[in-house]
Amino acid sequence: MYYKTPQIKKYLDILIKNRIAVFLFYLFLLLSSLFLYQPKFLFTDELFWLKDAMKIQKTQTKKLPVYTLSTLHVTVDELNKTSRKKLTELHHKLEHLDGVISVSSIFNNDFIDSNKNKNSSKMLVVINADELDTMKLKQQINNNIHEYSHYVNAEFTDFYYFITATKQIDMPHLDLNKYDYQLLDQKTQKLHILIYIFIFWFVVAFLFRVLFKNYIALLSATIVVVTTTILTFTLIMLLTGIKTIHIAMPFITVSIALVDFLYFYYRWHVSQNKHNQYNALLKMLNRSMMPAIWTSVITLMGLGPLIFIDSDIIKLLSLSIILSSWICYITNMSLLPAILSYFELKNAHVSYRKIGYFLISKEIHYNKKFLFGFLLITYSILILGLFFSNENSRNIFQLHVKNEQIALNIPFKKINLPLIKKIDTFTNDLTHRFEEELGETTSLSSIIHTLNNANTQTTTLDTQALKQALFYMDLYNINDKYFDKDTIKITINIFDINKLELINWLQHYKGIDIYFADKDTLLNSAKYNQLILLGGSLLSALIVLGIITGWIFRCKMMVFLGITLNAVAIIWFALFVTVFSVPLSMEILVATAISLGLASDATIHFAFKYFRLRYFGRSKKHALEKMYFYAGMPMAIGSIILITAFSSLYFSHIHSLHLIGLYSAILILFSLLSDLFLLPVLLLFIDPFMMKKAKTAL
Amino acid sequence: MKNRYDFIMFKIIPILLITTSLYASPIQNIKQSSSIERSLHLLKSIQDKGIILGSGEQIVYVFIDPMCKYSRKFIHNVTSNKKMLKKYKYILFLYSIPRLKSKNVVLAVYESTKPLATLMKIMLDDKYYSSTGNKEGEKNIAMISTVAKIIHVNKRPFLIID
Repeated sequence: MYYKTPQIKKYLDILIKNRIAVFLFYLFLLLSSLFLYQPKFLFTDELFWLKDAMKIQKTQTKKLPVYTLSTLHVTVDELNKTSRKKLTELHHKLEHLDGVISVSSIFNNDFIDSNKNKNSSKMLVVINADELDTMKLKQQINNNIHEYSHYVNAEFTDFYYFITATKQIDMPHLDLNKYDYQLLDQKTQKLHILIYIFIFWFVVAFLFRVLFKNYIALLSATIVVVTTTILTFTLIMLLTGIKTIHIAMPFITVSIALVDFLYFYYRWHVSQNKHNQYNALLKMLNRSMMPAIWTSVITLMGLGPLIFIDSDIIKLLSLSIILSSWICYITNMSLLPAILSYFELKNAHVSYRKIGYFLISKEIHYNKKFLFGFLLITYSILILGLFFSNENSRNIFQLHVKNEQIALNIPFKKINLPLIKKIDTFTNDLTHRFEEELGETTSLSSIIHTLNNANTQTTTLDTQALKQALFYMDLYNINDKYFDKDTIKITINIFDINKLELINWLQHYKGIDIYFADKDTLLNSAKYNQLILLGGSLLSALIVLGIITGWIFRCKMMVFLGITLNAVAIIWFALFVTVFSVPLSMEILVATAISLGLASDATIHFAFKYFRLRYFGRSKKHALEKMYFYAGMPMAIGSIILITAFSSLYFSHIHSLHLIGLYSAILILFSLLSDLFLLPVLLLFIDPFMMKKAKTAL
Repeated sequence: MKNRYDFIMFKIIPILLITTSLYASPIQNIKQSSSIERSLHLLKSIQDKGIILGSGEQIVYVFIDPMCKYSRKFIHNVTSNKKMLKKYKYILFLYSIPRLKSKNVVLAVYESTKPLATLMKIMLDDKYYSSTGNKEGEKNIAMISTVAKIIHVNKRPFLIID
C-alpha cells in the first residue's frame, strides 16, 4: 500500500557488494539474447495485418493469386511525337522490371474499331496503341475520353501507369522531368533508419545533458533502455515464436523504459541534495519501487488478457508494453543501483522545479465547471465514436484515395451467359451505389459487351454473340487481361472515394463470390476488419486498468480516474485521426500503446505520491507540490525528451519513421498535457481524505 | 435453254438438296429451334464444300471472299497465331462479294488439287489465280450461295461458331 515504506537496506547492501556479478549477469543475458535472437525488422506493416486477415486466408485456400498494384504518375508538357516515344518506351521498360506481371497504360491500350461501313467487307478490328501514331491515338482517346480518364487527362499532360507485380518494385531512375512513385529501396532504408536511430539517441543525449547537467544520466539511461529493449524482444520471441518485428515496435520499449528509468534516476538525482550517495540510492529504491511495481502489475492485468487474442498485432503490442514494464522494473531495481553506486553528484540542484509550483498555484483553485465540461466533451466523443464504429464504422474510418485501382478475382468453371449476367449485375450495382466516385470497371463482361457492340454481325448478347466475342478475344490475344485458366479479373478504377466504404460494400456483396486480388485492398480490408477487435480490446483494457487502479488505492473514484486518464489522450487522438482521415496503421497503434503505457505509469506514480502524502497529513497543496516534484518532473522530463526525439523522426523520408515520429509526438504531448493539467485536478476532486476528515469531524 | 439449265442446276437442285438434308435430319424439331441452330444445321449440310483450316476442337464456319481485304486480314491473323489453329477448326466457305468480282478466283481454288494451299497463296501472298470453272466448282459455289442467302450472310468475313 502507498503508506508503507519498504525496508530494502539489506537488499541494497547485497547488491552493492555483488555489483560486479550483477554486471556480468546482465552482460551474459544480453550476449546470449543477441546470439539467440536475431529479429527480422520490417519497414511495412502489411504482413502483420495480412497474417490475421480472413480475406487473404480465403484467397489462399482457393490458391488465387495476390498481386501488388502500384501507380506511376507521369506529367509531360504536351503529348507530341517525342514525348509519346518516351512514354511508350517507359511502358516497355516498366514491363521488363523484376517482378512485374503487367503494366496497363494508354500506351498499350487496345482500341476496338467497329468498322461500321456500309460495305460487305468489314470486320471487328482491335488496334493496339502501339499501331497508332500520336495524332490518331489522341483522336481515339478523344472519341471516348471518359473511358480512358484513369489513364490520361483531357489535356494529355498527365499519364498513369498501373503496375501489377508479384512484389513492391524498385523503380529505377526515369528520364523524365516530373514523375511520382513511392520509391522503395531496402538498402537505402536501412542506412536511413540507422541514421535516424542515431539522431533519436543524440536528441535524447543532448536533452539529458541539458536537463541533468551530467553524463551519468545519459550513460545509465542508455544501458537500462538498451537492456530492456533487447530482453523484451528476446522474451517475446521465446514466448510467441514471432521473429518478425515491425520497425516501430522497439519505440514502445524505448519510450516506456526511458520514462520508467527517469522515475528512479530522478529520485536518486534530487535526493543527493540532502542525502549522501548511499542514502540517495536507498531513497531511489524504497520510494520508487512500490509505484513502479504497481505500474507493472497494472499493465500485466490490464493488457494481459489481450495476449490470448488470435492476432499477432495485438499480441506484439500488449507483450511489448507488459514485458518492457517488468524488465525495466527489474533492471531499475538491480542494474541501475549497481551502476549508480559508482557515482556521486556534486550539484544535484534541479532549476526548473518552479514551473511545477506555478502550475499548482493555478490548479489548486480549479473551476469545477471547466473540469466537468471537459470530461463531458471527452466522454461524448467516446460514446459517439463507439456508436458510429458499431453502427456505421465506414463513415468514421475513412481512407480517401484518388486515381487508384482495385483488382478482384472471381473463380469460374465455364464462361457462359449466366456468368456474364452475374458480372453485369455486379457492375451495375457497383455503379449505382458509387456513381461518380468510380471510373470504368474493366471486366470480362465489359469487354464482351464492347466487342459485341462493335461486331456488326451480332446484336443482343446471346450464346453465339458471346462465342464470337470470346473468339475475337482469342484472335487479338487480349484474353490475359480479362481472365486466366480459372479466374476472371475485374479492375475497378477509382476516381475519388473513401476506399473503406467500397471495401465494406464489396465484402458484403452477395451476388458473386469476390476475392481481392491486390495486396493493398486486402490490407485495407484486413485493417478495416480488425478495427472493431482493436477498439474492443482497447476499451476492455482501459476498463480493467481503471478497476485495478481503484483496487490498488482502495478507492472507487480511482476507477473513474484510471479510465479517464488512460483514455483521454487516446480519445482526443482518435478524434484527430478521424477528422484528418488518417488511415489506421501500425504506427498509430504503436503511438497508442506508448501513450497507454505512459499514462498508466503517470496515474500510478502521481496518485501514489499524492495519496501517501495526504495519508501522512500533508495539505492538498503540499501534497501536490511534492507530487509534482517527485513524480511530475520525471514524467514531464521523459515526455519532453520523447516528444523532441520523436519529432526529429518526423523529418525522415521513410514513411514508417515519419509516421511514428508524428503520431507518437502528438500522443505523448496529449498524455503530457492530461498528466499535467487533468490528473492533479482529478486527484483534488476525488481526494478521499477530505471525506474521511469530514466524517471524523462529524 | 442454257439459262433454264443454269436455273435448274444452280438454284433448284441446291435448294432441293438442302431442304432434303434438313428434313432428313435426326433432329425432328429443327423448325422450332433457334435461327442459329438452323443456320448451324445448314452449314453442317454443306460442310464438305468448305476448305478446312486448323485442327482445333471448336468449329468456326467462316464465309470469306479471297479478294476481300478484311477476309485476308482475318486469315492472316488466324494463320499467324498457332493458338488459333490449335484451338479452332475453320471451315472456310468461299462466297464472293459481287463488287469484288472474285468468282473466277473462287473457281480456281476449287479446281486446284490443293484448295487450301491455293487459297493461302491468294490471300496471304497476293498471288492471282483465275479459272472459268467446271461443274463441280459451280455446284459448290451455288450451294454455298444458297445457304449464305438463307442465313443472311451480309458481310465477309462472316462467322458462325459451333
